[in-house]
Amino acid sequence: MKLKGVYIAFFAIISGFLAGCELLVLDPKGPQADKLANVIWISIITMIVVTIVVLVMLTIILFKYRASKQDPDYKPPHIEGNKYVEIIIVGVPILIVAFLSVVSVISVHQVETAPEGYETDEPLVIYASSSNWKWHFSYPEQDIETVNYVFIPTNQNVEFRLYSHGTISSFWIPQLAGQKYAMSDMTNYLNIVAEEPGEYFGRNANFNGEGFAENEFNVTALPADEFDSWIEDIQNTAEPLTEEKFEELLEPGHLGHMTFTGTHQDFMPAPEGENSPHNHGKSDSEDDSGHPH
Amino acid sequence: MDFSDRFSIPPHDDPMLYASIVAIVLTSIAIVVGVTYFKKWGYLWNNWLTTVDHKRIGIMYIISALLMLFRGGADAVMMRLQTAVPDNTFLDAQHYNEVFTTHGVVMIFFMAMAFIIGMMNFVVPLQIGARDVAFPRLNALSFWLYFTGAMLLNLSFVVGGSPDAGWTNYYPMAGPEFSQHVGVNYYNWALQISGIGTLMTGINFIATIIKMRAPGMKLMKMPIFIWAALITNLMIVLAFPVLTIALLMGTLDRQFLTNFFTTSDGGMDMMWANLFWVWGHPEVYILIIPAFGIYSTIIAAFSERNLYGYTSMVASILAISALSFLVWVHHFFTMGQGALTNSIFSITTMLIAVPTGIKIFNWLLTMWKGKIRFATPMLYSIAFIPLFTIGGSTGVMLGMASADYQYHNTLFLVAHFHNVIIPGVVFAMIAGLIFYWPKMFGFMLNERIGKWAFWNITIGFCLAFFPMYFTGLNGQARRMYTYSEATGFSTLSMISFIGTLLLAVGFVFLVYNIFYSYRHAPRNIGGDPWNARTLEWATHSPVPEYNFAISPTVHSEEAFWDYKENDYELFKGKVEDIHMPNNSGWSIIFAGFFFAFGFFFIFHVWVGVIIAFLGIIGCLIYRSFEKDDGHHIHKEEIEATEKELGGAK
Amino acid sequence: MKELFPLKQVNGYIFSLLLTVIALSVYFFDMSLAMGLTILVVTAFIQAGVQLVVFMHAGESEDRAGIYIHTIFGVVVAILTILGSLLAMIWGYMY
Repeated sequence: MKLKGVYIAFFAIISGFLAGCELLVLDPKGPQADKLANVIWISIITMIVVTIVVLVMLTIILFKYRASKQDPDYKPPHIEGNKYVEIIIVGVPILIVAFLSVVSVISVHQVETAPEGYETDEPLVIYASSSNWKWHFSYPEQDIETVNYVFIPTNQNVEFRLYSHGTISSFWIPQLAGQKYAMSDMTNYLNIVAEEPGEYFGRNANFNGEGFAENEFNVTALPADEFDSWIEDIQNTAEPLTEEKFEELLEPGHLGHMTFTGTHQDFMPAPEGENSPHNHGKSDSEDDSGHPH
Repeated sequence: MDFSDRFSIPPHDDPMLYASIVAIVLTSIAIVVGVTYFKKWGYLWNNWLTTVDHKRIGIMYIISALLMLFRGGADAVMMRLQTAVPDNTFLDAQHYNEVFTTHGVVMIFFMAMAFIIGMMNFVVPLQIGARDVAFPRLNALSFWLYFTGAMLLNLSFVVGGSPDAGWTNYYPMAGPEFSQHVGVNYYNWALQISGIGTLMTGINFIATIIKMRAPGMKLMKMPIFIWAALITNLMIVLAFPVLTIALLMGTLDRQFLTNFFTTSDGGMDMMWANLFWVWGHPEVYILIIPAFGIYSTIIAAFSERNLYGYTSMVASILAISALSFLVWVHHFFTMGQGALTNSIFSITTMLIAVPTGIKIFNWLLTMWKGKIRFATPMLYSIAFIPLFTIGGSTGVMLGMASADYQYHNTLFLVAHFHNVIIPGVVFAMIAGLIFYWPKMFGFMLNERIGKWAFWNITIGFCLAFFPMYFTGLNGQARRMYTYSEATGFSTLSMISFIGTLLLAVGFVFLVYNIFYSYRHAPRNIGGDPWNARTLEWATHSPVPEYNFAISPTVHSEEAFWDYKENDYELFKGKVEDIHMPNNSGWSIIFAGFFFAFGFFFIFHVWVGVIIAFLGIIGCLIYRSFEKDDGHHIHKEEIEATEKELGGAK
Repeated sequence: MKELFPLKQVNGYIFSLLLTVIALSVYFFDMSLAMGLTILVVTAFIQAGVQLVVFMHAGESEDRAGIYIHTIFGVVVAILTILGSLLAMIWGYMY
């Protein structure tokens, strides 16, 4: 039967890919992305089981009850339905959904807070703000600012505070954590830990116009001491960021990697606390440490 | 921007745009010359453009839907061609953005919606044994408003520029700050006008199904497609006003500089996303529920068995429709609303899998102990079951809020929704079209060519969309007009492009089949060529204007099957005069004023807006005082027709 | 004579005028925002109900059960939508 062959072929291809490929999302380098990769594997396996059950049932039924195999006089019976069958076809999906709901609820709480083992750390705060079609990274503590690339120390909780200078964009580093929106009227918070030094790919995932495809940034994770010397290096060598210069940077377009001392938070603060038009985010604007959730 | 600049034709310099303008002009001239040459204007006007007959309106919806399918399909091929190889320069970024926006808008609003409404138009009155819908004139108006919207959107392509903010049209990107050209105005007005038509369809069909069922057809004796149609229209009436308001707020923002969705002065960009998906998620089920109804009908017919678990099928439709209003936040899990909100909506989302699962098992159990014939409509329905299971499964995966942080905005999501919409809605509509083709036109479509089309479409679909699951998990965002070699997306994107071509070939087969069968298929096929089970097959093919010479009396959801197999007497009584509504050109003129209104509004030409508005008011006043009592088809006439078509029942 | 006098409609009319007066009081008397909004919402819903039953003849045909079920379903969906929107746009960010 042609149909069956086709499906078998597709499943062979799918499982081949799943086994052979190093897909970014399934190749995590930090605890948050690791958790998500686990959730994804759990759901993939559950769903493959469901799909196979349906496929097997379908194949058997199609083989057994096709007209060409049956007596021409065969009259299919009138069957209304059966209480026990219905309990099974309602019950089994409910059990599966209940299981996945538990996984979903637990994991979403985990990735919305500081990762396990890093709860007590004082996080490194980095403001990541988007403008068409760039990312600006401000380090308020270190008093430096970078464009389109960001350095983070390994094995430390980094709290990205996300917002936008215009269109909605989505901050996404697939190997380190799931994405979150950056919007103009509020600040979102994303905790990230990189456990391996290296270069990671990051991008805006939410369509925001003509320059969207190139709206990417680089993430470099360094051991703490190298990170500190990098900071020092920049504080000594980079040009200061002025308000006029920053206005220039906000113009739509693409910029390469850029580095400045000082941050735009001084003259154009993030929309959080009292600067948020809808009172989103932290209810207490005095308390700047700690996580909102 | 200068006044005349807004009308620039073409919107930007591109040889392809010039070529399509030439093609559009030539085709239009060819149509006008052709119709004039064959002296068909009178026929066209009297029998189609002014008709209030639900069957003809349904067919016009379906023809428009097919045209839009080819428009949207051409966009799809262009997109996949552009992304088939890395760093391609076939389309530039702006053009690509316009193409995918148009693809989404056309496919959802003007293809899928038109197809299901067309199908409901044709099938619902026949299946409940009625002569027409409750408000035939309103029905014609619905169609013409939909058509107006579709034409407005297609006009954007050559005059002024297409919308380019995605079919979701998120603000502030679509707002006046970031999108200065008229594209999004087109989006607002095209959807607004066709949305009014859809809303009226909803009201019309609720009234039809509640009030006009054949005697004896209690609610729980309605065929399953009628249940699907009833619930769908209820959802339309509940969901579409939200879109209307959201579009209105968007229009005010863009054209009168209010601040609903802007980034300053108290505007709130999340509000658009929220309103859009409050409408948008029920919309998905508005599309899929009639498709479920069609599959139920077809699977029962070709398994020669009654639908298994009728009651649980009805219950699951009700459950899906109720749940579909409670899940919209899953479209923006990543907006930052936190773990609690996401957990709630994650659970409601996955709950939809339960009634959907019930339906899948009921279809399997309908085939169980059946006598399965592999006709083309059945092939689509069989392919639908596993493909939709995969689509539904990935839907559950996307519904897990945490994992969604990794899927959101990637090609994984794109693969998922195509995986539910194509095998779910498009397959159902093709299957339904082939199934009802003899009822519409009195001849069957060729099975062999139909199967060629089926295999091309199914295999093409799998090749086109399954690779996207992998590139999505590999970090490819949706809506990127190009990517670099280093990303490693190129092999899978090429496979996807080949799949798209196969899909296109499949659709060409589909159209060729219509042409071939029109010329070669035998015409005397009787009323019931598929050995089907529901009322619509009890009348002739093609269906006479009045549907049933004698209104049928019903006692079960498969009255026609009982009539054939169990000697149930379906037509009690004798032929009498039938009261029918008159044709009218009012609807098309009314829609014409709406077209002018929308067009002038898009370009801020206030004089034109006022004149068109006066025209609309004038039409309303005319209609209020019009005396139109319809006409009667006399007994003798009916008897003559019945005799000619093969004897009165 | 009694059959000809539309007592129900006249009563409904007076009642709806009364509701309007109560709603207007929010403007004329000094009260807290919450108080004012509560009065407005409550009177608005009663007003809509009066219009539906008295003047739009819901409940006068034999399928009134259907009409009421649809209306209640619509109201429930609307309320859930509002609560969900608040959750997604305001409450979700507060804790």
